[in-house]
Order: sequence, then C-alpha cells, then structure tokens
Amino acid sequence: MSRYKLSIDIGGTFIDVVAFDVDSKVLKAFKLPTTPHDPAQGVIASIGALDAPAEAISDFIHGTTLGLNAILERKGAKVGIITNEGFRDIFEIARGSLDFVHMYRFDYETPKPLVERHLIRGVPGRMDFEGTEVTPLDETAVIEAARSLHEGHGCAAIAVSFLHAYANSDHEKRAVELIRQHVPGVEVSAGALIANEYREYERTSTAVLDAYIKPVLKNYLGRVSDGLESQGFAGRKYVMNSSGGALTFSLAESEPIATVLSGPAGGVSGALYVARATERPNVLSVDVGGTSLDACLIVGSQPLDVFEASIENFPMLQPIFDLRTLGAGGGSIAWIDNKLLRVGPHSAGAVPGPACYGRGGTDATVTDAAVILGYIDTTNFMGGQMSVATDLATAALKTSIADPLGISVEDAARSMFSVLISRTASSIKEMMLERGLDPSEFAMLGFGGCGPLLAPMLQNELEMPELVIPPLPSVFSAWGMMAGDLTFSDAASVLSVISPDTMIRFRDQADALERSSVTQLREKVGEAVSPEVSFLARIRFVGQEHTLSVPYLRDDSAETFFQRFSQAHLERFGHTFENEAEVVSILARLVVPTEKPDLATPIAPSTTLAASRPHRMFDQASGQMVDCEKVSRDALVPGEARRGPLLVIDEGSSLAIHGNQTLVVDGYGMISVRRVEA
Amino acid sequence: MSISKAAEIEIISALFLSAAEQMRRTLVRTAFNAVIYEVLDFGISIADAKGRMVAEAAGITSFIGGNDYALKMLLENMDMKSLRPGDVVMLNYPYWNSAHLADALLMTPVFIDGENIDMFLCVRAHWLDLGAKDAGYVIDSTDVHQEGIIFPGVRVIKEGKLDQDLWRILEANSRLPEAIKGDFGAQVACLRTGEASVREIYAKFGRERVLGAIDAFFAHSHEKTREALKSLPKGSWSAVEWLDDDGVTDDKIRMEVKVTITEDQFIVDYNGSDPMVRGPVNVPYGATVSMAKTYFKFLTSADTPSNHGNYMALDVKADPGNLFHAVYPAATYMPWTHMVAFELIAKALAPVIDWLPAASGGDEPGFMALGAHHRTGKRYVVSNNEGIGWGGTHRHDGANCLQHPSTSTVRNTPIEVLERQSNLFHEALELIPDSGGRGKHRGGVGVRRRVRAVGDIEIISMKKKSKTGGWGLKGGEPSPVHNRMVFWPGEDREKSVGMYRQHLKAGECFENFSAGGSGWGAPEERDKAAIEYDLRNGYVTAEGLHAKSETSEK
Repeated sequence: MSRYKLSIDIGGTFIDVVAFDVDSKVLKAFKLPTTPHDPAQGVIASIGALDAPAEAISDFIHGTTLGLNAILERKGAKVGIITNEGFRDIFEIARGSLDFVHMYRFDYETPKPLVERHLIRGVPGRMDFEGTEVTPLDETAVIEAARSLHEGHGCAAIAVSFLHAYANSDHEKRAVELIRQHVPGVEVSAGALIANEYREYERTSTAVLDAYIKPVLKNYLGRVSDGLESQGFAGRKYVMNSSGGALTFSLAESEPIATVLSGPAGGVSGALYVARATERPNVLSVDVGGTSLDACLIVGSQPLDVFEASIENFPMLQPIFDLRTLGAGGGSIAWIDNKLLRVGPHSAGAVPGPACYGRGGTDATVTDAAVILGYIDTTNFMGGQMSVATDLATAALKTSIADPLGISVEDAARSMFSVLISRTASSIKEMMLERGLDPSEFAMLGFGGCGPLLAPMLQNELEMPELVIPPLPSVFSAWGMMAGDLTFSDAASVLSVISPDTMIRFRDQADALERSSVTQLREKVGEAVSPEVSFLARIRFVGQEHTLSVPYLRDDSAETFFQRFSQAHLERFGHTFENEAEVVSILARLVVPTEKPDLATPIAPSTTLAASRPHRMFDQASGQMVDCEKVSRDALVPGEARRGPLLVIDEGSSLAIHGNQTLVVDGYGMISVRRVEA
Repeated sequence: MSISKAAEIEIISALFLSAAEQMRRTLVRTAFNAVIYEVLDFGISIADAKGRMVAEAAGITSFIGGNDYALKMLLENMDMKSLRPGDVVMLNYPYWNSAHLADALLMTPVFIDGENIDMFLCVRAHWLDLGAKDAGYVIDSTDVHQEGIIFPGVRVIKEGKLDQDLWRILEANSRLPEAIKGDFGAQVACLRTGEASVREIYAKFGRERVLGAIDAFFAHSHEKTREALKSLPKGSWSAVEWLDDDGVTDDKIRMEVKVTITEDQFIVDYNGSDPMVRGPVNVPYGATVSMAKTYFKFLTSADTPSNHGNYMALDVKADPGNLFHAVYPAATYMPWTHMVAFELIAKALAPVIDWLPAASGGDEPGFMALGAHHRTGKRYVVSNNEGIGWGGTHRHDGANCLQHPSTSTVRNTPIEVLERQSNLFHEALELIPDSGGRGKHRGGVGVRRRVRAVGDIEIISMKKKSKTGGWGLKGGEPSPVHNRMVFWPGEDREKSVGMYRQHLKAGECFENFSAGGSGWGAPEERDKAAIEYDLRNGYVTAEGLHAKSETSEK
C-alpha cells in the first residue's frame, strides 16, 4: 500500500488539497467546496475524497485561518488579563495612534476592546528594567484574580503580562504555575513566555491574542483529530505556522498565535523552496486569489520578516513573513468615480462572486474583464467544476463601465486591467523601495487562482526579467505546506551591548537556550527528534526602539557579529553607525527536516484538457485581439521555447502570455516567462 | 483598442501618489533621527509648475498641504529663472515656510527636457538642532533669532553639487552637525527618488497627456469637494478658544474663528483672535492654512488622498500681525497653538452640523525628560506624547486616550523604553474615571501617569490648555479641566503646572494628567446598557454618573 502525505489549505471558496504519494512519488491535487458553518467538516471530508484509505496517510499538514478569523470576526474566547497593580490600562491605552487610513477621521470610533476593563486585574509585584525585583509578586492576589476571572466572570483564558518581564520572567512563570495549579479549568498565555521582547503593550497584545484564540483552536484541532482518527487515520498531524514551518497539533494548541497567518505562509514556504531549489535567490512572490493580492520578498534565498506584525491593529511579537496585501484580486469590482475609473477595494467575494459565475453578481469584476479579453479558459474554469458565462460578464461591463464612459466593452475591460496593473505595480515598487531593492534583480513567482492571470502583465509593467509559474499554481499554497519543515523556536532576553566581554555570555545563553528548547520540543513532539539549531539575534543601536534580526553564530567574535548587524542596517536603512549595538534577545530556531516532494515529482496528468486548440485573446504587445493557440500545460515540451501570444491552461488556472514574452518549461518543471527585448 | 480617458486620469493620478509615497519610504528608510522615522515629523509633496499640489505623503496628520504655502512664497520671492536642473533650495524662514524654524524645507525643480521647470518636489522634516538658544526645545523665545539659523530660500545644492561654504556655516551653527548631515542626505535622497519617478511618468505618457490628466484630477477633486460642500449648511458661525499663555507671561490668549460657508466657498477667518504675542506661540500663516486644511479635509474628503483641487474652495484669512499670521521678528517655535486651536472650526460648526464630534481633550499634554542616566551616566533626552479623550459624536462615545486629532498618527512612548533610557520609574498609568464629559455619548477619558525619579531629572511639562475645559454638544457636558502636571503630589509643596521646566531630585514624584473629551447629547438620554458598561468597567464612577463636571479654572 502506498503512503501519502496530505496538505490542506482552506480559502474563501475552496479547500485545496495536495496529496503526495511518498512511494511512487506522484503528486495529486484537487479542490473541494468549503464548509463555512463548520470548517472542520470540510477538512475531514477531504480525507474521504482521497482515493486511498485514511490509514495510508502518514502526515497531515493543515493551513488554517481559524485563529485569524476568530480575531477578525471577534469570535474568540472571553479573556481576562492579570498585570501589575496600577497598570491595568496598558492594553486599552495601546500606543494611542490611528492607523494611516483613519488619520483624518476625527470622529473615529474605537472598536470595543477585546478584553473588557473589569476583566483586567492588577496584582502587586514589579521588576525594574534590569530585571531586578522591586516588589515581590503577591501570589495570593494572583490566585484570587484568576479564580474571580474564571469562576466569577466566566473567562475561558487568561493573559498574564508584567512590566519588564522580558528582563526577568520569573513573576510571569510563577503566575502561570499558580494559575494552572489552582484554577485548572482556564487556559493561560504569558507575554514574555511567548515573545521575550521589550515594549509592554506589544507583549500584552501578543498574550491576549494568543489567549483569545486558544480555546477556539484547541476545540477545532480536537474535532479535526477526532474526525480523522475515526476514519482510521493514525499518522502525524501538523499545523502550518506563520513563518513557514510546521507545528505539531500539540505545539499549535499551546501557542496558537504562531498559526495566525498559517494559510498564506504556505505560499511563501513554497516560494522559498522554489527559490532555493531552482537557484533563484531573489524572488518576489505574488499570490493572487479572489479578493486580494499578497506579495512577499525573498532576498538572497531568505524570506524577509516583518518589522512589526499586527492583525486589526493589534500588534503581535511573532516571527512572521513580511507578507503585504497590495491590491485587488479576481473578484475586485470596477466602478466609475466621477471622472475616474477605479478598481477595488470592494470585492464580489465568494458570494455572489464575479458576474460570469452566474450566481447573481452584476458588478464588473476583474475576472469578468479577463473573460472578455480571453485571459480565462471559459471551457475549463476551475477544472470544469464551474461554468463561466461570457454573456453575463459582457452585460456587467457594458452596464457599469462601457456605456457610462461611452466606450466598447473590450476597451472597458482593457482599461480595468490598465488601472489595476499600474496601481499594483506601484505598490510593489513602493514595497521594494522601502527595503532599498530593485525589481530588475528579482524573479517574480506567480501563483494562486488568479496569479497566472495577472503576473505576466505585472512583469511587463515592472519590466522584470523573469516570471516563474510553478506547477499546480492554483493550489501552490497547499503544495508549499509540504515543503515546510517541522520547526520550533524559543527566545531568551539578553539586553547587553556587543563587546568582547559579552560574547562569552551570549554563547552561554545560546547553549542554555538550545538545551531548554530541544527538551521542550521533544516533550511536545513525543519523539526523540534531533533538530538542526540556528540562532537569530534581535539587535539595535543603543537608543533605537526598533531591532533587526540578524543571524548569530556561536563562534562569532564581537567584530564579526557587529559587522553582520551593521551591514544589515546599511541594507535596510541605507546607512549605519559606528556606535554601540545592543542585543535585545536571542532566538533559537529548531528545524527537523521532513520528507517532501521535490520539484521533479511528476503530477498526475489531467484527463480533460486537449493538448491544443484555437483561441482568441487580447495581446498587450500589439494592443489588439488576436487569434492564437490555447495549450494544455501538460503538452508543453520541456526546454522548447514558445513565443506569445499564447494561453496556457491547467486544471485551476489560465496563463496568458503576450506577444513580447516567451515561455519555456525549465529543468525543474517551472514555466519561465521572459520578456523579449524590443 | 485603447484605454479610456477615465482610466488614464486614474492611472496618472495614482502614479503621482505613488511617487510621493516612494519619496516617503525613501525618507523613512534613510533618515538618521527617530523624530523622522518614528514620530513621522515630515511632509512631502509634488507640485506642478504653477505650484499647485499634485500629490503628497504626510507624516503627521496636520502637515497636510503644509508645503503649498512655502512653495508659493518661494515662487514669489526667489528668481525662479535662476534655478538650474539639480538645484536644491532650503527654506526655514518661518513666515514663508509653514512651520517653526526647526522644520526645514528642501525643494528641487524638475526640468523634464532641461529647458523649463515642469514640476517642484518638496520635503519638509524636523531637524534635530539648527542652533536655537536651547537644546531640545525652545519654550520661551521672544524673537526668531533665538530660534536658530535662518535659510530664507537658498540654493544649498547647485546643479547637483553641495555648496561647501554654506554647509560649513550650517554645521558650525548646529549642536548636532552629524545628525544634520544624515537627515539632510535623507531629504535629498527623498527628492531624487521623487524626481526619478516623475520623469518616468512623463516618459511614459508625454507632457501633454500628463498635464491634461493633472487638470482633470484637479477638476475631479474640486467637484468632489463641492459636492461635499453642498451638503453643509450655509451661513457664518464663530467660536472662541483659549491658549494658556505665551510662555513668557501668564495671560491667557484669545483665539477666534469665523467660518463662512457659501455655495462654493468655505472661508475660515482667524482675524478675531488676539494680535501677535511676545512668546513663541505665534503661528506662521502657512501653518494656519494647513491647520484649516486638515479640518476641512475631515469635513469634505476624510478617506481620499488630496491635491490642489480639494482646497480650491477653501479660503483662510488671518491678517499680518494677528496671532495666526506671524510676521518678522515674532517668535513661532511652539506649535502647541495650532493644536489647541485645531478644533475651533468644529466648535463653530458643530451647532449646525450634526455629525461633528464634541471637543477632545484639546491639547498634546506630553513631557520631555533629560539628564544623566542613573546607572550608566550617559546623557539622555526622552519624550512622550500623552493621549487624551476624544469627543462624543452623534453615533458613539469618544475614544479613550488617543493622541490629539492633529497628530493622530504619532505614538506614545512605552514605559519600558522610558525606564530603560532615563531616570523615570512609573508607579501608575491608568485611565481617569469621570474625566470624559457626560452625555448621551460621553467623551473619552484621559490618563494619569505617576512617576518617581530614580536619579535627578529635568522635566519639561508640555501643555497649553491646562486652564480651560472642553465644550459639549446638544446637551452633552464639557470635559473637566485635566491637562496638567503636578510635582510632589500630596506633599505640602505640591505644584500644578502647564508648560513648565522643573528639576526633580532622586526620589521625588510627578503626576501627568490628560483631559478627557466632551459629551454629545443630554446625559439623561444615555442608554442603560452603556451606563452599566461604564460603571462595570470604571470609566464612570457611581458619583460621577450624576455629578456635573468642573470646567473652569481652579
């Protein structure tokens, strides 16, 4: 019997499933409808949809947006906070600023706080900035507060966060211990134990978000487990974390905040794998779905992480890919604003969806425009699982765009793409400029249901030398989850300047951190794993608030360590200083490699697509509708260059190559699109 | 096939916005000082050859349109024919620039084909030290020459080359020449980025189409603004607000606005205000215009980027010699005046526009602390912008403890940062119950911060509205007077101050208080559930629920 690894990514409309047959080394992919009322059901159903028994599945890897949605929809647990006496408003006061999008809203309405003020309790106990105890922790007060919150007020989870806990977490550790011992029914999260970094509001927010989704995620993962196991599944279960690693279910349950960007991280994880395996060190990944376009940069084979991650303006101190939602997706709606044609930000979403889906949508969406210009294969949309009505797309564009502007429907469709592509390209330029990077030194990797649709036009607009479309682009995020390794990370606060004297201390701390984190990982995984261990240090120049993450090696000298940081600072900010640098914390990253499909893994061929048929589409290069060929991706001969215009289709997406572009399937199975010099 | 005009206008306007945004990211990425990259104390804009603003990227909320007046004054006072490609002009003469002397503006002309000026790019940012009489901040200057070295529109870079002689003068006049050099470099990099982006736009579309699109989106924005104006009532309304003092005497200063709305104009007239005063609270006319623009923007187009077209209907009046039109040699260093005056327009119009919020706490009641660190002996300067309560509106309660509306993007400083870097040790940071004005929708509450010195400290308390309360709407009550700092609280020598410098010894305490916002609608109409929520959560106490607030000077 074959053995399978299964990865599952839940989107707005579909559950993407990728199955890897470990023995015969074949990949298979399919889509199922989501079950919004109970997401666990759809996930469990995906096991049944596989043409193999559940016992044959050795690994189950899951990308879930459950934690994220609980926060977005305010459907998390009732949470209480235990903090220092006199400081119970730190969470509500936050940083006191408005987000740029609301900066002129002088009638701004603050959303209701995630934690009601009466559920926040201050207890005596205080550390100073050096981690020296100023006032001892009042243990009785901790127990009483926890009891009152849980038993008196029905809090399902408690977030513990104390001032300067990054410098000394003893009070937080003790408080967690006491709560677990005396109030066993309540979940606990502690700020410095999740994120050992300074800045009290950001740490408190991290703990609160973690506590807020803990009961929800535990319940969900429990039901998924039960559902899988009731069908005979007995393999390993993983959840994707926000930085492209896999967590065991028990790790995810103990620190659910690590999973909030689980879904999109799969795409970046896949992009990272492609970047490394195909020797393209600089990659701009562009993931386009129905509602948005998410971009992420990989520089020198390393993904960029964010400076300051947040959800709904709640900061979280978590290692997270710097994933930016930059623009519109396939469902984005075009509209006329007085003299201007605009695209987005409103989207037709999954329901009713674009007009051409025939589900009652009447607005002109990007997908409708694509249908009119021949960028979508209407005969095989979503592998034939969904029909597409050209006449509905035409009617939508005619009524809302073409007639009011007095232009043809085709011109309207083309205008929509011009607006969308120009704006998206600008956003990408801005994102790269912020890091001092140049698009001409990057390859674009396009995936997601609408990635192959937009990416060739974006490549032209940004004048990028190469566009890469991976196999199975529409389920690439799920594929990318398989490319992730089992990871675990833990941090220790350091807070001392880089000097020859302190380097010895750093090494001792790194050693201690390695020992404790490996022990923790073994406990959570329940096996004798031997992880690869690497370290990152968060460093800043003395006096700065923000830190940069820089690799730390145990044989670093003060000189090499400082230079590495200084160089990173130069690259990030365009300048550097000579003065003292301070290490805020050291992070140990543990990686246990997993068995994964490599890029040569063949894909079960599609049965329905004809090798080649005539087609008509709009060619950007010549500026007109042209007759061309529509070919199945399976029919492309590796190494053979093809010049556009040309439409390449697979089961979930269409790739429109324009007249100034050529494509070739490279040795790794990637479609490589290049621009022909004029 | 071709793309429609409507698409082309949208594309070109978005490309200019992106150019401004690219300038912003370049500045933030390359600036040396945290006042730029963390406090965002800057304003960036792109204008056409007539000086009309095409696109901008603001840092601080009220810096919107701030460069427009400065560019207008440069066009009027400099010989534009003498400008060459690659030149960079520096301006910090407050009466021409729209800001105090520390905010230096750099401008570069863009010559697309080398013959005539097609566009102007401007960036203004806060410089750490330009040789004012005091390091850090000046709170009691009495003329402009005490505020630093003046550049009245001078070419510091000529055809791409830095004027070394000028630069040596500048460096010799600053306490922090290294930082100045870094920030100057960042501002120049910002201009160069903008120039490259603007050139790309011209290269792609050609001058004629670019200019056509600019005219079209000016017209578009103007029309949108006129539409918004249509829904506003027509007539004239006035309001008065008080500033604590001018920093050198104790007299309160009267500020008055008269707002007149007609079919196609929105006129803001500050001439009813007191004349200029001796201390540094006088406002350069350009800053007065940007203050008015900021509130006008909220009234007409809060959620869209702005350009010249958005302000064609706005007229701001303040005659030379008025508090709001400072002339040489008036001192202008303290921008607190336009924070306290910021909501005057709302106060004038609120009786006739239902959706305006009641008064916020009305001030930016923060502080600075300086000295030598008690553990390391190193010199430090730290500062914190304290949040205030915002006013209630017809739909909801005012926000608790947010930054002042005119600086809504600025952040407070974490306790852990303050305690690591200075001699401050916090004993409490808590919302103040009953500090919001009562109402159907109550004002947001302010905050109390109690700090003990763990080493000697010099504290500068920053407040200019500590003597008067707020104003409620539709029966809502004004918020109590709260902006103040109290030294040695609870001791016999207890002292309550507004703007003030005080030395504290190790072991001594201060408390900083910020005011709440005012209420909207009669308190009797407040929803029962909202009252219970407030009581349960201690935003309001049982006593405060029924007590009218104390709103006059104590």
